[in-house]
Amino acid sequence: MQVDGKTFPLYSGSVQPWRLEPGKWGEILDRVVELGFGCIEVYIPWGEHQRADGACDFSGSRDIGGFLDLAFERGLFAIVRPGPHANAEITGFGYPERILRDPGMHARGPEGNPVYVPTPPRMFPAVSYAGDRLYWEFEDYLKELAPVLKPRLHPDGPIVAIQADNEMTLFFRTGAFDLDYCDAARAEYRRLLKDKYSTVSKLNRAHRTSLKSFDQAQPPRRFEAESARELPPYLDWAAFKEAHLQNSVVRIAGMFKDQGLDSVPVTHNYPLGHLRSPLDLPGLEQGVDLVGMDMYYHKGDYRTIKARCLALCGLSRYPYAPEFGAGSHLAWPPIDLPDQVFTTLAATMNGLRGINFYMIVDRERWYGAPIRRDGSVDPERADVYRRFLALAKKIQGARRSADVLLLTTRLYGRLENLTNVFDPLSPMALAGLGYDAVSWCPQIGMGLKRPPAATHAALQEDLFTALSAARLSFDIGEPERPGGNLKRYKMMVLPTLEILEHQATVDLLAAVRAGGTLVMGPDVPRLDETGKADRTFKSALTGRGEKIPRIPSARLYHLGSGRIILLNDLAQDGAGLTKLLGAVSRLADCRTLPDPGDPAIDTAEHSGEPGFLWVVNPTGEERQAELQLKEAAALTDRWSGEVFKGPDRFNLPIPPYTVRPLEVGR
Amino acid sequence: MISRDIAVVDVHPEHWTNFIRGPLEKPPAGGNGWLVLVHHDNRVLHAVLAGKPLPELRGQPVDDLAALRHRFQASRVVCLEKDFLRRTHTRFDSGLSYDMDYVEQLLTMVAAFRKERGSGLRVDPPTPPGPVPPFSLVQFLFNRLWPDNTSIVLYVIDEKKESIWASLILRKRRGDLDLLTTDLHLGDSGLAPMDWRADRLRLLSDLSARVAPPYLALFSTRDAWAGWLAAPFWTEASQNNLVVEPYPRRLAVLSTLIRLLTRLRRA
Repeated sequence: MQVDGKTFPLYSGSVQPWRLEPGKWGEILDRVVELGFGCIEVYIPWGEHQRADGACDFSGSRDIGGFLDLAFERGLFAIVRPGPHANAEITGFGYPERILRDPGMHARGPEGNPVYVPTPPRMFPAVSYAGDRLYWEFEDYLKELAPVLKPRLHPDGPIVAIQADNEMTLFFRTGAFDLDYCDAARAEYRRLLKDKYSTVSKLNRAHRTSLKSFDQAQPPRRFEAESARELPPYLDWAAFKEAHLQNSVVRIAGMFKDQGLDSVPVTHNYPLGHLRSPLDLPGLEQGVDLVGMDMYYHKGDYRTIKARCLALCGLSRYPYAPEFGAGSHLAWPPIDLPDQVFTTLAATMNGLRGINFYMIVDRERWYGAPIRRDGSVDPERADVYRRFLALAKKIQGARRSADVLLLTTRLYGRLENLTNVFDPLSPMALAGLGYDAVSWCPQIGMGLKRPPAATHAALQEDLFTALSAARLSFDIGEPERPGGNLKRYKMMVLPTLEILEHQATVDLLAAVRAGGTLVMGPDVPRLDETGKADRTFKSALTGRGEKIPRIPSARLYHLGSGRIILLNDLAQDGAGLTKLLGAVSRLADCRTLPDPGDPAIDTAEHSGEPGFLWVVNPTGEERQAELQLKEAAALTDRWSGEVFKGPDRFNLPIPPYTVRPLEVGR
Repeated sequence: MISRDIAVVDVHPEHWTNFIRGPLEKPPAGGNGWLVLVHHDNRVLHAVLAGKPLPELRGQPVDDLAALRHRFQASRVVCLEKDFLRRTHTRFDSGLSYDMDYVEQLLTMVAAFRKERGSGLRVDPPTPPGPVPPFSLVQFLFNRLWPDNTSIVLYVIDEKKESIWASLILRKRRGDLDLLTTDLHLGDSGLAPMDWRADRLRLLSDLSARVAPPYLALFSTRDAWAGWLAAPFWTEASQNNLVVEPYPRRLAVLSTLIRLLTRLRRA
């Protein structure tokens, strides 16, 4: 985070003043400063500040201006979150009662029924973000809130960023055929069709319908395509859902600017779970300044933590977790202190650069934060955060980088969601049950030789495992956007099947011509996303390709100043795939990470002065890392304080669920 | 039963975590986890065993769930008709109301699932039979078993570490659970763990003044708590290591009844 030309690590913590005694605010903020935080994050829930008669209450425990002034006096920055959606474990997630009780405000399922958010202590109807009414209502609140916030924007006050809404997923119900089918959403869907096809006859050709006007177009209610040619209506619905979520956040961000809250960046947070369609992180970052992903994980979740962080590294401007579990809500499995230590270090190791700890001050319906609501501290927890913030300063100059980009495309993300056999259970809900796309995508072939969604999901998982096992540093991304991102990587890996969207093909080939190396397979795409023949890839791979020594299954094609390596046997077992990727990565001159000699131990390098080697034992048993590091004299664990003397060879015990950030001494 | 404005405050992180996770090592889950089948016309469309797809079952009949459970050593088989989840979601979403109590909302969801038991939803081993009780009956029983304006108190003490291992204080008002807290709520006047047998009476008196008069209070050592939970049901009440006082007569009668029924069922 750069403020006035100075760079600060974006480490902050959530404080919710209306749930604390105003007389304790100053004392609590003093404790926040003592822990080493330079920034807080403050919710200003709509329903907590606007009374039933529409008037706003900014007095007493709701005196947000007074609270921000106290933070400013202590030199703290603040990120504010006015909503409309807050969650914050408030009954009704922070919407005013009149919104929740108004049927005209409710999102609708495919049968026209309201849809409930199943959260304690009271399930409530999901609010619709389609149409204008919610925004008009919210604007009334914002008009009263803006005069409180505007004089407190940096540099006159502590506010350095403002967040639009919260976890925009229509309340975690991201199932393809779940929400939102209200009249206003249907009208928005039809507008998208009109913008895309311009005439009804073009729409009819694409959707295989015989409509007389766009007004007759109805969104699909279940997936019934039996061939790739029948995909367009479903893909259009998936594209609409992505656009709907994105436009809703961007519209709220625009409302902030309309009220004069325009001199600080606007952020947004995606919820934990599945960072795929209908979420679109790089797409949303075209409308707001920064989008992060919330993380509430346990120490047994290392693979998921790594996958989410690598996706943030590949997709976002700045890998950031706007909510990172520090403590827990009663309705969740407890996140204890060992969980907090492990997940924070594991995420940092895998490239997470900014964290807002949620919460750093306990309050009603939350426990396990380092500061209690009476202003006292939990000594053990406070020590952990002090140590982490001290470590953050030490590692600030070192950066993780990746030579390899593991790619997926929008098309496959959409197909995974559209064909979800458990719909309307959302991918997010299924992820919470331990299911991934491999488990919910059925073997629907759609006339192709391999079922596209299920095969792509399985290949993605296998490639993730194999790239890790090959000790390659990689990010996860998409070829379509953000534009130019592909140039950062020495090698791109994309599991390709017969079908691939045309634009992704064009972007990939452009990246190759500009000097990139693309590893693809097992198939050469021959159809675009509408199921029509697309020879773009085929014509780029002219001839039979060159053989590659020691990789008999590979074919090498030169294109512009780059190359494509086609691996027809990409779909194979773990050890074989690891070997294959190791071999092709050497062709692309990708560096490998130090091998600790134990496949269960993962490593990451953060280059800089000093440089850091991170090692993690994500298992429940003690492990031993045997590292050979040329020119390294000693390794200092900057978390535990232990020093391991070399030179060159190091033998490190790693206790269960432990991350060691090792400063490499030359 | 549960206030929509329930106050959940001063929850001691270790006390709550210990209470939720329990004093005993969790036994390894039996079998390979759940086998979930989605079928159409009694033929498997998709099968997942412990989160991993099982393509070899595609197209197979779903007549004999017990046989499938044994074949794959699954702890449970859940067989869903293709449109079951969609139908059930629509059914309970249409039946819910924002004015319902949370427990009533949950019962509405459970009822929507149970309506399709045996057709859209089949489970092996089968879930217990019987209808979902009406919420009014549940609320009635709740009010009979726990009077308003009283509290329920649970303390588990780790005598070896001379510390409180778990604590929980609940209060009921106007028919609803309206406060959930722990020993942390009491600040300096919390239970003295080294002297808990004597100090508990002082604590209960404090709770009367600060929260609500205790209606049921259970104090236990960690070992007694573990033994008590591990025993078949209410079979261990170590005198000095587990103290239940106050212990309302109607709850004592109910627990005796449950104990008898449990024994009869076993016999």
